[in-house]
This record gives sequence, structure tokens and C-alpha cells, in this order.
Amino acid sequence: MQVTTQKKLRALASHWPSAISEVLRHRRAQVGFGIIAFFTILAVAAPAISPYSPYAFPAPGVPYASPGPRFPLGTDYLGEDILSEIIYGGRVSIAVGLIVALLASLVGTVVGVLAGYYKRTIDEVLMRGTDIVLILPSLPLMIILAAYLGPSLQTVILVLTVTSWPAVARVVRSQTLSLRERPFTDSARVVGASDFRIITKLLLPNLASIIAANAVLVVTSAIVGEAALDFIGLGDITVVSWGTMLYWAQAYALFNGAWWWVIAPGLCIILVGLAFVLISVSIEDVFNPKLRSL
Amino acid sequence: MAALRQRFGLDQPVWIQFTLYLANTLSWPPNFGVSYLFYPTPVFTAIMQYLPWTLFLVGVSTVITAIVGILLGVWSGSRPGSKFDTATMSISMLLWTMPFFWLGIILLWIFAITLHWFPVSGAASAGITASNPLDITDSGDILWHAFLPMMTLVIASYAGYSLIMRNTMVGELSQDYILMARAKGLRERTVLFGHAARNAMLPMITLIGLNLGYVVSGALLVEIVFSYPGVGYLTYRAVLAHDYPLLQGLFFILSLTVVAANYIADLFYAFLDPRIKY
Amino acid sequence: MIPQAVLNHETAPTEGALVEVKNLSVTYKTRAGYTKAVDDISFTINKGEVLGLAGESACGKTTTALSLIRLLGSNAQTEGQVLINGKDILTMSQEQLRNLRWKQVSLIPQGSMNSLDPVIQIGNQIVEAISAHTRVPRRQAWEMTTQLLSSVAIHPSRARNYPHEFSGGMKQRTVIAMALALNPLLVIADEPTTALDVVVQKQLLILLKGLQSKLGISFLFVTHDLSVIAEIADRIAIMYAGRIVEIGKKDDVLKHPSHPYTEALVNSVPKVFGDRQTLNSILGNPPSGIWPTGCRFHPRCKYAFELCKEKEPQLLKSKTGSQAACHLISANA
Repeated sequence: MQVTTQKKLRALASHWPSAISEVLRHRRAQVGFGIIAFFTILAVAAPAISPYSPYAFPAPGVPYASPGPRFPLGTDYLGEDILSEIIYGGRVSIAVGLIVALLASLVGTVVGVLAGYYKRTIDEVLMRGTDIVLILPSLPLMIILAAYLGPSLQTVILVLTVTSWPAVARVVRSQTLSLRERPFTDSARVVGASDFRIITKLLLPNLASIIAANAVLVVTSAIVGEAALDFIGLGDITVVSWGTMLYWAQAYALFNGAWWWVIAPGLCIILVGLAFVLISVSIEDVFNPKLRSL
Repeated sequence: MAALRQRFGLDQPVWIQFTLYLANTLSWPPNFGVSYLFYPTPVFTAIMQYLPWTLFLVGVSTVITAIVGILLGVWSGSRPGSKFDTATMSISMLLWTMPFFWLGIILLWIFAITLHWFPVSGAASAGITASNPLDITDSGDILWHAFLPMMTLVIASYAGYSLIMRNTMVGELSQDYILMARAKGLRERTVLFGHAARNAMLPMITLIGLNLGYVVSGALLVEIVFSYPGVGYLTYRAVLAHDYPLLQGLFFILSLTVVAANYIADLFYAFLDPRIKY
Repeated sequence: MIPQAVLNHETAPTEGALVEVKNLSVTYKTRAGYTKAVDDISFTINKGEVLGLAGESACGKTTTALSLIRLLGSNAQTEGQVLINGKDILTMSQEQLRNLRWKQVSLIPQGSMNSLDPVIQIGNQIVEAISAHTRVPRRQAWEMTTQLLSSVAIHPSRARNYPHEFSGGMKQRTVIAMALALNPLLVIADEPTTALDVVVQKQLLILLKGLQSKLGISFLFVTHDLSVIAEIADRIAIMYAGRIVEIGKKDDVLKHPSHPYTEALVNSVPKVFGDRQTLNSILGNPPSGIWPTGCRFHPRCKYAFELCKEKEPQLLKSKTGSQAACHLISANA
């Protein structure tokens, strides 16, 4: 039983297209992908779908209007349509999430692979740096950096990347360490392949699945993180995103009874986050059969 | 203007400023300079006034979160695949992705603003002179004010523990020594808690330590939502006022606290696991 | 040992068998479908007797052993009857089962290395077994524990050690001591010597034999090693592919095997003394899941003939007095 499981895992890891279809067979993953597809369509087709522009001036509606036929999600303190804000805001929030995931995966992979492949001093140095960033509480770190850099979208992206790459680096490093000891790496080195070639042609493809699994989680935390930073006021509050919506909502919504203004962006963040968690849980299920319930 | 610059030492070369700063930090009490916001109160004093409240908030909620997470994890882990397990896991995943501050806003809105069950802000009612959370005379009022923020923290973070505890339990329950415990005719409750959970809990302690940074971040946000006078709230005000000395001091103290807590968690782990020599 | 008065539980029957297994079948439900690991077997164990249960890997020995105290997982369906001292284990309530476990039937499991909880002291694990079933006060239970450990040649001062501080042999002896703590009627020993080196194996067997004859406890001794069974068993049952193919007195079975499989097993034990010979082995692999038609051993049997492929043989009394399931017996009768 043990042998067949390991064989299956190795087969899955090296043929990740079939792994993806295995994952998709889980209902959880299907729900997850469904949600993501929904929001992606929303974001991409925003100009076509959205009833109004969230920056419309003059504002189309009366401030704090409750949800109704004209404004399905009500209006904010300026009278702007909240549904439009959600649609356009989604573009920004999801884009930030994806960009951060990309950058963090890039930096994290480079650091992790170098540390895991070259070991000894390079590993020590790189890992000390990673550990320091990892241990420090992320939000205070982000706040400090953002306070110096000034509030803007770029700051948010930069700061989120800084706090996200260590996790990727750690995971990539341990995977690299184990891959390095495998026979195929040795045989490549014996044949005389250069380090660069070994890393790019052999290790990276094998690392791809684990990087992807982690990137998925980074997107979630980045979206939530962006919302948190906006909420504190460190993002660009003139841009509409789910986070900035909550920033304004926290100031004005509660005492004006505009609960829909608070619920809508939060719900979107939760749904997107949930989607990614479902997918990552399904990925873990496929790769770790012991956790499966019969 | 020039006088202000001189007062704050900002007219000296950068590297001198930095060295002086380090030297000051390493002395006791640490001298982080004077806060712009609370001028002329030194940064350190200001932080120390707010820190106890955050420690209170984070400390108590971590304990509650750990207990809830472990109990739920043990229960789900002992019956994987059951309705209880799937329901708990689904709810946990939902709550896990919920932003701390959003949950805070919702709870604040429902329980404080609408239902008036709990106060809207602060750590203690006006007129109460409790300067730190350990002041027993007003503990009722303090707990009343702390309840919603703590609940927010617990609900938003228990899922991380319960999910991992569940998975660890499933692993432990398939071990040989559990078969032995059952063969010995022990009650199922003893097998679960006295043996399986006891072994499964060890990695949890490391997890609690690792999560502390995350919980502190969450506490910061929760304090802002509830206007709870802890270091999070202080940070918020410092950001708004561009009070850089205060921010630096806060960051330093916070990081130090988290690192120290992690270290304590490591020691605790070594103490509990008889296989480790420390 | 622990005085009988303290334990105050049932004694073995004065006549009749202690354990009667009737038509026991165990089916496992797996992702791939259903597997019948144990197929309609019956046997008895008498008071004070050691029954050896032998066979290759995956023949159903461990499943049989564990089913005697219902320790199989929830994916196992058990049918038939298992009577211990007259009571049917399979229909007992959880509470009755819990009372019976360790007090009347104890277990020395396969892989005793991992059968001890790593974070609890050795002594406490034995005390736990005592406290769960008796009203013995803790201090007295601890004294009993140290006595038990001495009887298996472990110094009492080591009772406060943790499992990782013991060697494999010591852990095994601890588990043996623990199994005997409550003076049970029956001990199920599942490959207790398999993971140890030969020298320790011998020591353990001598120890077990001594304790067994002194205390008069019945044993179900499961192993794949015939030489171990030869040392310790009174009667032997040979299992193949979920069925018992031969069962009888030790000397009968080992010296004059009635079933071709037994004969092949006996012949495959290498001889240490005498001339050098090539090792005999049984060609092929034991079946798993899908049984051959007719007699399950026929693909690997050198005596197989037509009938063997068609009809499954039943257990019949052979010339030596043992029972064996082989068509050759009825053919010769």
C-alpha cells in the first residue's frame, strides 16, 4: 500500500496536467474554480457589465440608499452605486493579489532554489534573512514600510510582496533540498550539465506544482492584506478597491445604517479567499491520501 | 522650524543619527526619542501605557483560541469524514478567510451598535480609572469592553488550529500505540485525550508560537475597529500623524515581543516532549 | 505476580475449550472494493495451551488475531462466532468488551516498538492498564509494575524511563510484562519476535515459555517463522489465503505434514547443520484479493491434479491425526 501511494504521488507530481484534472474531480475544487471564474469574468467585463462608473460625477444616486431595483447593492456616502464599485473594485483587488503572488513567487523561488541548491553559506545567509522577515509580524512591518513610502498602490504591492516571499522561499528551499538528493540530479551533474541548466531544466519543472500551490495561498493573503492596508489608510484611497470601500465604510457606514456597504466588499473578499482555500485543500487532498476520508 | 529640527536631532548626519538611535535603544529604559504626537512624552512611556491592553487582549484570546481549536480538532479528528467533521471543516475554512477587521466591524455593528449589548469602544467606561487590565476592582467593566474584540480574534483565528489539530489527530490515531491503548481496554475518552491528543498537541505549541505574529497583526486591526487602547490603536494614530519615532519604537517593541514569545514557545515544546534534550 | 484475590475475575473453564472460533470471516472494505481476508475459519484453543498460527504474509493471520478482541478498524466486517469462556465476543456490548480486554484477553502486538506511547513513562503505561481494570491504589499498582518488570529482566529503576530510552528488546519485554499484568486467560501474541535479532529472539522465547508454563496462560501465537513456532507451540494451525489448511499437534504437523503447503514450508526452513544444500522455496506468490478456483494453493502445488482446480477441499482428518484441507487425503482414505 505504501509503495503504490508513493508511486502515485511521484507520478502526479511529475505529470501535473493530470494532477489538475484529479484535483478538479473534487467538488470543493469545482466550487472554488467556479467562484474564481465568476469574479474573473466580472473583472474582465467590468465596463460592459457595470451599470455605472464608480467615479461618476455627479453621483447617480442619493447617499446611503438601501438596496433596490435601481441600485442592487445600494449607494455609498457620495451616492455612488455600490455594485459598480464592487465590480471595478474587484479588478483592482484581484489584480493586486495576482501581481503580489507573481512577484513573491519569483523572489521566493529564486531565494529558495539558491539556498537549497548551493547549501552551506549561501543557505545560511539567505535563510537568516528569510527567517527574520518571517518571524516579524507582517502587519506592523507593512505599516512601518508603508508609512515611510507614502500611501499608494505601488506601496501596497511592494509591501505585500516583501511579507509574502519568505513563506514561498522556505517551501521551495526544502523541496529543492530533497530534489537535489535524487538520483536524476546526480546523473545530470555527472554528465556535465551546468548548475544553471540543472536548475532550470530539471528542478524548476518539478518545483512548479508546489510553487503553484503556494502561489494560490499568496493570492488570498495578498487580497486580504491589501484590504487591511487600505482599511488603515495606507493604500491609495482615491482608487476604488474592495479595501478602500471598507475604509470609507468604516468611517461613514455604521452610524448611518448602511450595512450593505460594509457587507458587500467583505463578502467578496471572503468568497475569493474561500475559493482559493478550497482549491488548495483539494490539492493537498490529492497529494496526501492519508487525510482523505473513505 | 530650525529649532524643532535641532531639538529632534534631525540636523545631524544620518549615520550619526542611526548610531545614536541604536545606542539609545539598547539602554534601559530604551530611549526611542520623543513622540511627535504626544510631545513631550517619550515614545517608550507612551508605548508602555498602551502595551498592557494589547497583551491582555492577545494573551487571553490566544488561550481561548487554542482551547477551542484543540477541542474541535480532537473531536473532528476522531471521526474523519463524518457529518460533524465536514460541517466543522467547512465552517472553519469560511471563517479562516474572513478578514479580521471585517469580522470586527460586523460584530461591532450587530452587538454594539444595533443591540447595545456591548460597548462601542474603549477598554473601560469613562470615569473608570483602571490604568491596566490587571486592576481587579473594575474587572467586570474591563471584561465587558474586551469581550467583542476578543471574540473577533478567537473566531477569526481558531480555524487554523482546529484544521491542523484535526489532521494531526487523524495521523496519530492510526499509530500502533493507539491500537495498544484500545487493546488495553481503556475508555475511548482516555485513548483520545490521554494518548492521541497528548501527542498531537506538541506540534500545536510550535504553531501557536509561529502564529503569534499573525495574531498580533489581527489584534492591531481589531483594536482600530473597536478603538481599543492598545498598541494597534496607537500605531494607527501614529500613522495618521506621521509620528516616525513612535512608529519605530512600536515596531521594535512589537517585534521583540513576538520573537520572545516564539522563544518561550520553543522552550515550552522542549519541556513537554521527553524525546528532546534542551 | 498479582494475587488472584485482588483481580477477582473469572477463571478458565475446567473442561472444554477456552476459545472457540466458529466460521469466522472478515471482509475489508477498500477503495478498490471488498476483500475477504479471512474466509470461514474455525479453531479452538484449550486452557493452558499454545496454539501457533503460521503462514506467509497477508494470509489473514493478523486479522484473525485482532478479530478475537474486535480490534479491527471500522472498514472491517466480521461474521461468525468467537466464544471466549463461553461468551461471544462479536455480539458483546462495548462496555462488556472493554471489561474483557486485558483482564481476560491481552495483546502483544506486531511492532511493539511503536506500541508504547512516546510521551508517557513506561511504568505509568503499565499502571494505566492496572488502574483501568482494578481498584488497586496507585502506589500498589506501581509496586506491581516494578515486580512485573523484574520478571522480564528489566531493572525496576527503569520504570521511570520513556520508550525512546529503551532498546527494541527491552520495549518488547515491557509489552510482554504489560500483557501479563492482569493474569489474563489468553494472550494474543502477533509476531512478537519478528523485528528482533536472533539472539534476542531466543531470549524472549525462553522467557515466554517460562512464564507461560508457570502461569498456565493460553496463547495464540501468530508468526510466519516456523522455527519460532517449533519452539513454543503445542498445536499448530497453518493458514493460506484466508483459510486454515492444516491444524493439529505440533509434532504431527511439523514432522509429518498432511498438506502440501505445510510440507513445502517445513522444507523451506534452511538447515544450519549438515551438508550445504540449495534453499527450497515455494514458487509463485500467495494470492491476494482474487482467489484461484478450487483449492487456493493449487497453482503452486506440486501434487495438484484435476480435482484441485475445480473443488475446494474441506478440512478432513488425516492419517497423523491432524486435520488438513487437501484432496490427497480423501483420495488416500
